Amino acid sequence: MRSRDRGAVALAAAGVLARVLLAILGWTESASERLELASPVDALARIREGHALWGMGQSPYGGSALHAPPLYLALVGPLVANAPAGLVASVPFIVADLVVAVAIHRVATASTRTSRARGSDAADASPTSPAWVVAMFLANPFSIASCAAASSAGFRAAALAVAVAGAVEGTPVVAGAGCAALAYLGDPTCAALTVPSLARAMAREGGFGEEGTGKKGKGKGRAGGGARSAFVHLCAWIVGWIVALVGVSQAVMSNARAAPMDWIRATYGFRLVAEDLSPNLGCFWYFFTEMFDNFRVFFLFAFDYFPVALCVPVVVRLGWDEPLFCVFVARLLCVVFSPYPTLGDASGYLALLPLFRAQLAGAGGLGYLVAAGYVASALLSPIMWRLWIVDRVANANFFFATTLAWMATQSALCVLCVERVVANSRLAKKKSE
Amino acid sequence: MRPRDAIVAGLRRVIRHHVAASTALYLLGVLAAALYPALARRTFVDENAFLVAQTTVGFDRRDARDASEHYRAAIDAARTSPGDVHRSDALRGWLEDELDALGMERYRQAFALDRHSWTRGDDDWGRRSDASSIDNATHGVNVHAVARAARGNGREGIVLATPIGAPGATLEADAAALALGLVVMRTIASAPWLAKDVAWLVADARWGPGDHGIAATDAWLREYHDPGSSTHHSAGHLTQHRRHRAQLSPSPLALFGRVGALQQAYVLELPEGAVADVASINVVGFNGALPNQDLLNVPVQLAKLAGFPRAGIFADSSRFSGTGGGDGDGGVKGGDLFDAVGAVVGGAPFAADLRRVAGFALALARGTPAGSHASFKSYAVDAVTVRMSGSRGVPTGGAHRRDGVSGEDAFLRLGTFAESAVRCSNNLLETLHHSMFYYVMVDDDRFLSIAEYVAPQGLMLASSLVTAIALAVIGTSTGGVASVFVAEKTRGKNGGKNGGKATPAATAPAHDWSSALALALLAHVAGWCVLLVATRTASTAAQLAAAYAGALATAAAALATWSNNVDGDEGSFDGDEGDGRVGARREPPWATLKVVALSVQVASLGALTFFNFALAVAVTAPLAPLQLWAHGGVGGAIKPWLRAALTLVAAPVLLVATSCAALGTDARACSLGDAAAAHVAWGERVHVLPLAWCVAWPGLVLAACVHLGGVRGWRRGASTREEEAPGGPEGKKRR
Repeated sequence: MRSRDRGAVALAAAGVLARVLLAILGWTESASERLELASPVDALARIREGHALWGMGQSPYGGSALHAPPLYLALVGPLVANAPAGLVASVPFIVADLVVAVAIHRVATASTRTSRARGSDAADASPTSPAWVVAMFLANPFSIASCAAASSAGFRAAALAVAVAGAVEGTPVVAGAGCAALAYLGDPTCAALTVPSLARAMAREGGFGEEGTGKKGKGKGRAGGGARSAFVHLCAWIVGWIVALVGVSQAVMSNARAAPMDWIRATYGFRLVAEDLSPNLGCFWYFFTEMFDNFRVFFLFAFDYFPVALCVPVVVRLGWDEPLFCVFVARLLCVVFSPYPTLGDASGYLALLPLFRAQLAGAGGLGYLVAAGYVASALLSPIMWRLWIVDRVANANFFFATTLAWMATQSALCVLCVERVVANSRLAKKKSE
Repeated sequence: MRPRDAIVAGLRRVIRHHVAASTALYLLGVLAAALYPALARRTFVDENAFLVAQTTVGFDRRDARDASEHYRAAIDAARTSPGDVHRSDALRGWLEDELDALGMERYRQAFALDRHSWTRGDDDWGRRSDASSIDNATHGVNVHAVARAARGNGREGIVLATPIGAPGATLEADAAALALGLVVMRTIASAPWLAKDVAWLVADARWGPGDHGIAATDAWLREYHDPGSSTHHSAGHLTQHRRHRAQLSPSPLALFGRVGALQQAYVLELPEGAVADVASINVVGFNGALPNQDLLNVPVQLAKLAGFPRAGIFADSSRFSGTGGGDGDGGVKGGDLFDAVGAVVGGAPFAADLRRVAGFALALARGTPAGSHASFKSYAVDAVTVRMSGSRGVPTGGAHRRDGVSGEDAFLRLGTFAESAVRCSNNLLETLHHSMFYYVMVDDDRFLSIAEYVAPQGLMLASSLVTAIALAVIGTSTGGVASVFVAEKTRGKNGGKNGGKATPAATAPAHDWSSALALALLAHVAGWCVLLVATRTASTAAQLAAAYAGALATAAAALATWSNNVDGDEGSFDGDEGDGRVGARREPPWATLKVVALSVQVASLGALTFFNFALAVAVTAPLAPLQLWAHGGVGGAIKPWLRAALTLVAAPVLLVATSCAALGTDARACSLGDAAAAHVAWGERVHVLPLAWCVAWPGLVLAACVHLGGVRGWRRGASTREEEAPGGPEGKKRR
């Protein structure tokens, strides 16, 4: 172990220890009540409600309480059935974070290997040490708090990280599993948006389809063929995994007399139409509360369309050279325009950010502003909530201002990153010419 | 130039000239604070449904006469009670008999005394003057009566509270409070207009910090909102109390009457008995929490309508202005300073206004309430304490005054006021508007809303933020932000046509954030440890030892961390400029630490502004310049280690001395041990001490560490590097 990695290991260990300590100290209940950490799709109270209904032989999706997929309910429900949830209840969430850590470590290792193989192109851009990439995720306060709150965001982050790891290692079965899991856990749009980039990464980084030399500008025909082959394989595996997950889910739900459309509507339809307008970090709740009903459908379409509309140009421009970065952007945009975002979702895409240290070179000073925005937004949210709900000295606009700041900060991160990557990509290309 | 370009250019200019900009912003903030009185507006009652002065009052002279008779009966009852019965217990017994005779609902609550936190030691708060049984008591007793609204739905209620038994309160004072409450409740209960239930709480004010029955009101509210909680104990020494409790309230759930969701509460204090010349309003709650401003303005108007010659928050001239030569309850006596400002700006009236603003803000900053209304505010119930007394400077002779209004006339005023206040709240249909909770009173009829008073704090925080952003974005280079942006833009357009060679001035700064964040974390953890020491020992010496030990540890860690990069790598370049990518200029570690320290300061004090503006300003005003002044430049008249020492030793001493001079208190009496003891006595609910040790002190420590950034260059005789080293130019600017 290099000396510079010792600090990373210590930091990562501290992050894991913090998760365990918070669970032992019983912070799960109070954390899961924070709207920044738990949303209507994964709040502990709703999981408990669903589990109780299931235990009585009734459909857990009969009412409007549960919006988590059946397998998530089957895994987490028994563990959190009784309040207060203890350490055992936190085990799946800690494991999910560890899965993220392992996956992004493999991605970082593969990226480093690829950079070295490519020779001088990125020699300047010393990629972040894999240990530090892992440490920055495990010590991220957002991911720690999300884990303490037993939020499903950790599972979504794990699914995405596994998909990326599978892609860079050229294994479509793993990448497909991660992508399918991400879709199954409630984010099919993000899963769909990442497929082209994952396929490209599989061909470019993972050597799938006889490519993988990493040499840019050479053998584009072969590379294109590799990407196409990777795309087909990846899609096939994704479909296969989704069919399997749906089948197993229906089998699990059979004893509760729940029809497939019951849980599909409750899990995915609920997100699509944003039924629950209780305040959260997203912009949907305020916007759709204030809006006249006549315009609801149009703006639902517009909001759901935004991530696609913004992501496609990025994939077109950077998908060939920076496929992993496109995955990051896709996830970020989907979180920004999600009706029920949490801090855990942010930690999911932030886990990938250190992988692009080289591509983001030169943005250090402005990065401070973005980081300050994240801290300020996370700090303001509970303050405004307290002023509004507890002390009654503010109104909904105060909290909505925080959600706007949160959205603006994430948007700034997206713009800044894309700008830096495009600029550096352009410079590198010019130089190679 | 488009407006957007003009704004961007202006921002870049501000960042480029951040030293001047920060200084100007800070001075502007101080100036804005000095101009507070000029920004004041007239007070008004926002909620028309109070119907102030639009209703008739049912409390008449006959009721006043009844109150006077009850007053005498209560005194007789207390004086004829057995010797082993405490005075307030005798009064409570008499009250319960009277309530039973009137046929009113009445309830008795025995609440546990958490002696560890509420009665520290055996001689605090002057309890020894009472019967010796009090020292061994394990429970207090609240009594409350309820007047049900015949036409109400029971969902909302109003509270009238009269604490009795407070240390220093005379028998006449307690008897007058009970007599007044008894007759007012009788009048209200039979009033045809009553739409909300009314609870009259007779709080047992013998225990707890302060002299206002806050512990008793807290216990009552706990029981009200969480049945059984106020009688739950963990300490073993309360076992005997449990037996008492079992006898007193075998079924707390059945014996505790409620009046629905509490809407407003009025606490009446009669420290001089049946005397009614001055109605002094108290609104300051825990940590500067304030009720809706209508709860201040309405009682002022009602008191004046009831015939009080003086009514208002500044009616008791000794409380805030310090001119009355009174007991100095939060008074500001720094007359010279305010007079000097007044002489420059607007003369003596301006100086008096400024003194009142400072006094009110100081009361908010201290965070310790002076009335049991604070307990209600903790449950988001708007409440106010009205302290009715005689004119200052007139010998009162207990409750029987020879001049002013006393006796029946006084009861008429008091009863009129109390009934009017209840009736105003009774008229309300909606919750009070949220925009009326943040204010600073300039006078009884003038105030500053948040729109006016937040400006100085915003400017001072902005001064820190500008420097933090500048150091983060352009670093300590002289090239400035424009050169960085322009160079990057040019590189982007040219795409490396010139070979992508980057000039030093055109490079983006690279910071070692991890080291700076670790040092900041260490400083704050050390500060938290000092707080732990303070609450455990309440010792001045132990706190100082822990504080300076933590400071030395942080400074040592900073020097050790920075010495690893001792080979003059400041200003070196990361990245290979040859490929056209943007190069990175490594910033000196002290600059990064300064960015982190300023950011933490802005975040923490900005957050505090929402809860206790006055305390946030009081900390920001001295901390911001100290942190802005901190730099790791070498050379100059003052050596870096001396600057660090001055920051850690001289600055706090100077600050305490200045504050004491402004407050008119003896600096030698400002003991950290006493502050810690008071913090514990108030149940660790007050923010001052945690803020001092967990925010302000770590801020000072980090500022000192920033100064130490110049130690290395100084030791190496780096005067020759003065012009080249990154710290040099900024150091020169600062000097």
